[in-house]
Amino acid sequence: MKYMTGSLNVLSPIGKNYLYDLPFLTTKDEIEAVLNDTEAMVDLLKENTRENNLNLLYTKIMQLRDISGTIRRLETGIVLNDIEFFEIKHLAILSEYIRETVFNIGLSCIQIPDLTDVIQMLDPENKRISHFYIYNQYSVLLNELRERLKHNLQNETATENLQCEAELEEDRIRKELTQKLSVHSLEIKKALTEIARLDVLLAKGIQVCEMNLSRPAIGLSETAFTGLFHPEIKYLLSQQHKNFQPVDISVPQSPTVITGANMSGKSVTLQSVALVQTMAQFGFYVPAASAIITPVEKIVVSVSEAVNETGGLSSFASEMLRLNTMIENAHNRVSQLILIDEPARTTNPKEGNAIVCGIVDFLKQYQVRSLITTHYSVDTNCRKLRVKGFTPHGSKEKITVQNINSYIDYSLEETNETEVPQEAIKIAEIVGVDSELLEYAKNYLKH
Amino acid sequence: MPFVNEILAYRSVSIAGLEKNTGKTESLNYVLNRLKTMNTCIALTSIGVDGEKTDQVTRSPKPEITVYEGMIFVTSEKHYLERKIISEILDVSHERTALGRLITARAKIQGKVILSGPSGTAEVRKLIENMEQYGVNTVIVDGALSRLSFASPAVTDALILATGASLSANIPQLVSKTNFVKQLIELPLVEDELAKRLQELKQGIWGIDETGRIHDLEISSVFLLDKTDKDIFRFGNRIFIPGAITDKLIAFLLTQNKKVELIVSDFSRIFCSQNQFSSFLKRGNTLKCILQSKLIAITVNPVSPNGFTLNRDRLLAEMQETLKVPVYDIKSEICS
Repeated sequence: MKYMTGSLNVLSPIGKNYLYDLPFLTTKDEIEAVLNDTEAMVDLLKENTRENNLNLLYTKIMQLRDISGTIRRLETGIVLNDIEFFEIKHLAILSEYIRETVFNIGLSCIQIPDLTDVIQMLDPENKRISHFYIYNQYSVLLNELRERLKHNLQNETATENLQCEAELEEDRIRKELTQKLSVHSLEIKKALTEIARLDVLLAKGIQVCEMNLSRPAIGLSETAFTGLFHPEIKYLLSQQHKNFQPVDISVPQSPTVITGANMSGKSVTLQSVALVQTMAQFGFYVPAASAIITPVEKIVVSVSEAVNETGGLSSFASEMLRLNTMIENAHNRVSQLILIDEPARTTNPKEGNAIVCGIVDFLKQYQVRSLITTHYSVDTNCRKLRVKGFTPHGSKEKITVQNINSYIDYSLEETNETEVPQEAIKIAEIVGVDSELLEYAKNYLKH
Repeated sequence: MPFVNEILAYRSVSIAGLEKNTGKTESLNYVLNRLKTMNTCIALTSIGVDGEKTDQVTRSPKPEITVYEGMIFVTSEKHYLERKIISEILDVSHERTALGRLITARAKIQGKVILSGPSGTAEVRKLIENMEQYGVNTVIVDGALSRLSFASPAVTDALILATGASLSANIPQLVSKTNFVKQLIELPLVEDELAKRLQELKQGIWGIDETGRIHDLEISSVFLLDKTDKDIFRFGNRIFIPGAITDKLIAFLLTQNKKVELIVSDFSRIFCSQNQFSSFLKRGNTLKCILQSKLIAITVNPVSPNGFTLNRDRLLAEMQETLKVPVYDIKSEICS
């Protein structure tokens, strides 16, 4: 997820805040609404005829400042200073440009309020440039005081007195201006958030086109993917001129156990499912050729390298404690998607196997949508998938760490066998573990 | 005073004081007062935090600068709000300094303002570049106290140096100290073509052979120079050091007795004492730089803060004779 948000090209700081504050959506309607907006943006980008308008949008959004602090002060009625007036004027002028452009390209899902009244207040010279000071036009008195000041610059006491008087008048104008502006504070706030939303939407649209993401369908009970891929690993492989083999998988409302040799991509599949489910529920397009997703209230992911936040516990103990989250959720009837990578792998195989079977039985009992990868031979009744795995096909080429990828078929198939693939030693040989050691190991297998 | 015209020939000019109370602020105020009548756009800023701190130590109020109609100034949010000038905000920076964001404004009616600008050389350089969009002819940078690094030619093209009785109460010594700084500023340049190649190098120690090829001497810092077991003159006697030139380094080179041609980035990297510097040159070594700054003028303040006043005419005469650049007593210029 970090990779996906990291590769989103959000242009403004406030857009980034907006992105990090996006809510996790749990109903079909909410998700579809956000996806509709994204689709409108993607269609616009694919049309490819409005490049000039889009470039204008980019440059304008890049100038956006996060002035939410100033807007809050405006709402509370504190008299603003010149710098804050400048900020509001800057936003208002920017917002009018963006509003016009958004209208021209027909992006109706972004609703920026009309701020021409605000501009008029802050731009008495009608120049439409975001410079600001307390203009002479604001009051006859101020204008007169400044004129006198200009002609008395040589006389120090006169200058000081006039400056003092002018400052008083400026303060009065600031107060009046703040009051007038505060009537519009809601619209100003809305303009800022709508531009931030536009910023994120643009970034999302571009990411969809660049990474070839697709719109997930939101189902009521089904969760299934075809052509599922892991964007970060796909990118890393493409750097080495290798292809990522996408996977098809469905996740019914019951536990599924995935088995397969080492290096066969079980964990990657698990992570990809977690990613797709998360992205969809934040209203993003997903890395799969097609996807149907049933929203859940909680996504629980347990992977072996998760940080031990409890402190002082072994990796086994902290893993076991993490399971409590999913148990609690299940008891409270919270709908969840559970993804566990090799549970109990760090303990003895006998008990480890029993723990995995126990988890499966528990998830079966509570009908929890879940995927569990394991190397143990799970001897309980549930849906099992196996990675097709190592397929040397009598190749003459020597298999090495560098080319091993092309000899693994990462696709999944249903299986009823309880026995798991026994290819650990073969893989160890390929990655170049000393043969003497492996000979010793093989002796034990013969017994 | 002719040097005010010369300022306009440069895109950026620093005003640097060699010591506190050398009249840097008066120089700046004088220059601005003279520039106001010229039909050209001037911008000014300062080096922020440093000046502020120094003034809090000495408890003297930070001086206000008089800015004239049409001039652009850059100062921090804090000092902008305390201004006594009618001015129009042109821009507010995204970055923050210790005193808040930087405000760029144009004076509508002359008045006084405290200047506080960016705190680093890279930021000042960026600011100078940014000023072009407002049609600015020359940016004047009010340098921080005894921080010549801000007057580096890597930042501003030219400088005005303020010196005076607070640096030394003895005229010959004051002249000699000022002359040392002038010598550093006016170090001879290396050939253009070599300078271009050397500019890319930011650290380490480099040897230049007879054909002009540059070799890494594989010493990461000058501080490790006396620990090296390799001959640093294996490519010849031309050595380039982009980093700091210290007494220790000069002492090391002196003991080698080699008639070295030492090349430095610019004067702001030289931190050695006047004595070390002159014995280095006397022994037949040479010092060159790859970037040079134009010294427009020197201003002197004959009054020291403890009340001591030097003979103004003698001071100006001796300075002028030794330094051979225009030397001015700003205070009497203002009176006259």
